[in-house]
Amino acid sequence: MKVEERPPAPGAEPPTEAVASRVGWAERASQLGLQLLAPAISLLISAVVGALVILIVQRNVGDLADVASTMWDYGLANRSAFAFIFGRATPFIFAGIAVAIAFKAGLFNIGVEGQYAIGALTAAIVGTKLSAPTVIHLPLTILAGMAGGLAWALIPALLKVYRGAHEVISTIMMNYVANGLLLYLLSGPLKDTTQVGAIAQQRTVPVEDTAKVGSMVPFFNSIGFNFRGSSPVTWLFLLALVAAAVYAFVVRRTRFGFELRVLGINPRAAEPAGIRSNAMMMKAMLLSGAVAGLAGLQDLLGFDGYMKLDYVRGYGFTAIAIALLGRNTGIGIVAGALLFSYLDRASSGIGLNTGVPKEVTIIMGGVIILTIVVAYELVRRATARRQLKEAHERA
Amino acid sequence: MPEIVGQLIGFAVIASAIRAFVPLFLATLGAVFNERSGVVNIGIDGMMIFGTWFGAWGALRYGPVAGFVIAILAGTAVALLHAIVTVTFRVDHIISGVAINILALGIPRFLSIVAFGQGTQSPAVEQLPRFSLPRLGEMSPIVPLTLVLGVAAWFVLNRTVFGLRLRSAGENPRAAESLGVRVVAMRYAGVLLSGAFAGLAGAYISIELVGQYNEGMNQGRGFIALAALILGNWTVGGAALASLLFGWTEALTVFLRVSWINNAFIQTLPYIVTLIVLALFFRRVRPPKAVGQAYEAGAPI
Repeated sequence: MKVEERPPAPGAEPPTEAVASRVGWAERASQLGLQLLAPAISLLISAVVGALVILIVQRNVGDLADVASTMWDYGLANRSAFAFIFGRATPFIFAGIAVAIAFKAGLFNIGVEGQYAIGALTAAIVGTKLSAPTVIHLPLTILAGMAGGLAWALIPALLKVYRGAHEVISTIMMNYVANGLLLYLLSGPLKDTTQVGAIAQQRTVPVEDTAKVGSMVPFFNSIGFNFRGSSPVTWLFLLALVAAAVYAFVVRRTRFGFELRVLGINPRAAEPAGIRSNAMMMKAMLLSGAVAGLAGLQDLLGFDGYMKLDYVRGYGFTAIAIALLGRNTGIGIVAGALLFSYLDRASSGIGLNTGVPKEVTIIMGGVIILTIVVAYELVRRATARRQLKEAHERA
Repeated sequence: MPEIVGQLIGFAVIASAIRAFVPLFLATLGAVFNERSGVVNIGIDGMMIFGTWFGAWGALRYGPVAGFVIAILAGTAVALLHAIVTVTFRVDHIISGVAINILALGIPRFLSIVAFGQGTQSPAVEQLPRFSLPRLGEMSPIVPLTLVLGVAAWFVLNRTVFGLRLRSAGENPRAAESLGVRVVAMRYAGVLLSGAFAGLAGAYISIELVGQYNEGMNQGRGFIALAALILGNWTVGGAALASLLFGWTEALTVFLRVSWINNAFIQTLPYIVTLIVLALFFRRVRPPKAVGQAYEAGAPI
């Protein structure tokens, strides 16, 4: 007899993992190998596609060699490369966790984009309007960012729970509404009117120094790195790593995390198991929005120092790829964020040093997303088949 | 208040609403096909974006008619990818769709740099010859074509054997297969048709509506089309009425000017109306029974 195959919810681990804890370490190592095989295949395919695209477009093997050496020299071996990678990974990690929280509950939060823009906006308001010592001002500003993201996730969450409206469409719509709100506020009530001349932008006044996040460069240099002083990595990177660790702990070791996973793996089993699925969905969506609200803070408090109109920068979409690649695990999200951050770094290197359009890395990122889901599905089937076979042998 | 009436239902607004109706209705028709066959296609927005780019590129190189053909082929090609991933590999439909939407953010920019020398727009392209309607002004020949396609889609879906088989694949694939329907083939057909319609819709936006390709010009119309699909209860007629409503709200963003509402908010009207529609109608409609479910041909029950 064969149980009808239902595609697992996006956040659901294959049922095999639950069994894995009861089997020996050799079995577990081969499980892990199989799990790592999928991202490895995906990365390989994306590299091949990237190379083919360059060959087709440029018709020149020399360009391919240029790109390859740039991806190494500028992307990794350059003095400040890792400062850039860590800096850019910061919003990616926050946004990736936000997507993963929703995934775990079987929900798609495609609205991270709008949520972090609104989070950055509310943080900018607190950062510019309030004056207080750093110990109060900075935490309040960060909390304001989370509150903004949460507020923006509230409407899709309510629509989902009370009206059944699919969150993919509603969160996307909220992204567009966020754009409208930003446009209104940054060109009107919140606009910095002291700017003059041709360079005047639609942006807020600078946030107070007490709300800014310090650079992490001195710390890294004290432990043996050699980053330039202006390198873009701040203490928010540490906060992002902590957030990933907390996320991993909550999902794996707490009742809340357990209920979240049950809801994601089998929503129909949740209610009979005593899980109030509507309340859980609500919590998951709001938590997702709150974490998303942190994703814009690196640019606001660590880099630009003010909020401007172009704050919708695609982190939310990259985050979906990161969560998928990392299988919604804390360590996977960090690894995925570092990978996409590295692709960004390599991209600017390709733009600076070669004749190839730097957008080739966007194509590689896209290929990773599409191949990773297929690769994981194939691995899932391979493990399921193997377990079925073993069960037959035992029987 | 004659001025506000003119801003709401004047001839200029109606003409603009008809122009905005066309891509929404075409995309929604596509969505009707893929959903009735049992496959969710969130990637419709991305397929439209590919349509806008390839339409403009084709029109630039070979003229507007070729632009439309190339855009339809491009939309179909992307849809084939979605069909392979969802129908053959049985990956979650929404994940595949989201991946396609992300690809559609990056690939057109790369292609633009290669083909147009810059990332965000193309040169102006030649448009199809216009015809004139009394009071409403100049119209693209794609407008009547869309109406014809709407009627044809209704006929194919509801009055042909192919349509019946396609719908059965989305309602009860196992029963359909037991009666000899090739469910996998039907689902491929549904998704490919959807991509073709999305490509056509995208090409209309770049070639006819604007006259060039601009990055981001699709403005989430694919998602609005999905809302129109829901509001129209997965039927062709319903899709037409819903697309008309959304087309009209899009026209309002151009014509409606209210002193006490900032224009930035009026620009978000289509998205807010979509949210309201989702809130009011999602529970009252009936989607195809097996939509979004993986199906393995020949699997024992």
